[in-house]
Amino acid sequence: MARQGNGISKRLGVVIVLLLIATLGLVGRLAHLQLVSHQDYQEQAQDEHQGSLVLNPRRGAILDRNGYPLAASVDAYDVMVDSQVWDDPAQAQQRAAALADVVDRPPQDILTDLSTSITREVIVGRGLDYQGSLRVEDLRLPGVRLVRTSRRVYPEGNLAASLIGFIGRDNVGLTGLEADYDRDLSGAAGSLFYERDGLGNKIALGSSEQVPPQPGADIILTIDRYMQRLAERELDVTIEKHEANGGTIIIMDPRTGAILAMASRPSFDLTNLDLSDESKMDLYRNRAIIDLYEPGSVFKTITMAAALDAGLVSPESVYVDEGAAHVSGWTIVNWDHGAHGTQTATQLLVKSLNTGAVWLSELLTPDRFYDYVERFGFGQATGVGLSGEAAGQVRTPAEDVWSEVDMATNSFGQGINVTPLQIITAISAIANDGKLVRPYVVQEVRSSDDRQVTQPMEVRQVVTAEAANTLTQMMDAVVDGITSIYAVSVPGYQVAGKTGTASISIPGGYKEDAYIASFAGFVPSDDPVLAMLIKIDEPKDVPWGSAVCAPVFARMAQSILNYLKVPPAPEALVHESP
Amino acid sequence: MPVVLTIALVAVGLAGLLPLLQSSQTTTTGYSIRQLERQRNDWEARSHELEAEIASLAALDRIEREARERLHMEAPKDTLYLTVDVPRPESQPVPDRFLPPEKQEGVEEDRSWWQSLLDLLPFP
Repeated sequence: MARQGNGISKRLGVVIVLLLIATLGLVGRLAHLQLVSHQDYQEQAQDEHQGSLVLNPRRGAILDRNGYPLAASVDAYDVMVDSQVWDDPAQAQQRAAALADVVDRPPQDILTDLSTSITREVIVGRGLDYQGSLRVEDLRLPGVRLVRTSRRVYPEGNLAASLIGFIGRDNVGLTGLEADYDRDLSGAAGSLFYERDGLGNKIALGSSEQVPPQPGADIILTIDRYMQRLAERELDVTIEKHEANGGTIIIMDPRTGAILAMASRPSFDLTNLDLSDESKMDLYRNRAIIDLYEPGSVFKTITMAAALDAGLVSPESVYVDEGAAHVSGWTIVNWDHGAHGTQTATQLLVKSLNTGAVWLSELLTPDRFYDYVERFGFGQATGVGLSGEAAGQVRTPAEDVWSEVDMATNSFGQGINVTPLQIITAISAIANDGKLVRPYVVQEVRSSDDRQVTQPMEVRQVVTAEAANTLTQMMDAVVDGITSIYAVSVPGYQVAGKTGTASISIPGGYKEDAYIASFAGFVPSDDPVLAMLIKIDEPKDVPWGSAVCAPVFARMAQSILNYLKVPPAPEALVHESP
Repeated sequence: MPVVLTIALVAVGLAGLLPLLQSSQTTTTGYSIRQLERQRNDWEARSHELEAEIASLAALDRIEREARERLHMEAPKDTLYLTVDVPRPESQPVPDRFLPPEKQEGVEEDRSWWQSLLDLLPFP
């Protein structure tokens, strides 16, 4: 019995020890779960129990100077599905079929998205409008929720497309003002944390914490939609008429630097973007501030302004045009290959004589000539506030490769690369009594609690007011000189301007039989309210700026002056008979 | 004694009912809040859609199309500037009661772009 009793005690002891070990193991595991891993399990439990939402802010609008929206946002809705709630294949098939019609996708695509996604919640439909969102709600499908976002709309269609730019699918600005002012436009996202039930729905009385989204600021531009539309229409008509490759029109208020219109072609369809087509990438840039070109004879106004300001010439100063200028072994001739004999400085400008511009540059000497070129803003970005703006290329005597023939060709606008914006800014300085102002396109950034207004900024006095006014009178004569041939006059208003017909540089020389026609001017010349550059690339029928661009300037100026209610000169008024 | 017990029982019963009523009331209020939030979101969405509609109605292309096709208007061919040799009449003071109320400062600031846009439209 004693042996049996000992045997029982022994076995009992083993069981007790095993039970103790098991108990200790359980206690240890419990301690591990409670003390060491509790954080992980707590987070897992919270993830199951707690939902969170990013509350997307409404993207700010881009408005013209009168408050008309060029780009605005309307509410849109993304449809999200909780893949864990749709884990039953048969039910998922049924639900996908119900949802397919509303999100306009085949049910199989929805199910594929769900099965391949690494996240629990999957977006199965994007950009539904308000009516679409109501249809989704009416379906009352478990595990489906709507996320409010926004969709860009363009009430004026493609107006100012290259300036405005566009946004991506994630509502982030990709080009143009949309990208440059993305931080202001996009606002700040909010968030919502809430308790959810087993179906993923928000528990009505559960705890929740919400940080409301901050809507994006509105951007008010200096662009006037009427002028912008006029510029784009005229550009399209002129390009088609002359079978040109493209063109640019910029309208500026010369007194403030406010850009009233900025149009360029070719451009893109803002309302029907196809970002997958890489061949269209070339269309997205804003050519008015990025593309460089040799301005040709329009630049003679800059050379003349410098010579007048330096006191080297007056409108009546004379020189003898022998038809050719010889510089460093190169021969420079006039556009008409003619020799005009004794000519005044005004005739030089009216007849656009290259030899005359060379004469002026020689009077100025390289130091003074390039000092004025720099003072007019060439070779540096204007600071318009748009990304990607080119500085242009000016070869100066400080560079080893420079030679005197560079100055000679620069004097009539060849061998120097500028942007259209630089040209109109420099011409505006002449219109503005010699004061160069910084151009700008954003008038104001307006959020719910802040307003940032752009103030016009004078950069420098480039030439004296007297020199600028004298040059204005000479530019009046230029327009008067071509009025008899081309329809460039604006009845009731005096226009000051200069034509340009420039060769197009290519590596190793100039393109044969291809030109850039341009006209830059301002009106009314005695008290300018608008300065305008018309530039047409490679017109096929006739290359001259006077024939291609000056009439466009006249038509546009007439419309805009009426639109702005600028009174005509008194002599243009027709008196009513008593 | 039975009376006291009865009163005590009723009091305990009422005390037990009170949290139930409170809970029920809270639930009802919670659902009302959700309903109202949803309504607010709906109206906001509708309001934003109307803003976009106003903007598209005010688009220059549409106005020109309406002018040409519906009103049979066309662009002027000539511009004639006239002066009228009659002095401008002196302005007649209008009694205050016929004038629109003065705009309060600050009110204008709060107006959104689409409200300002409405003022620009040539609709009555």
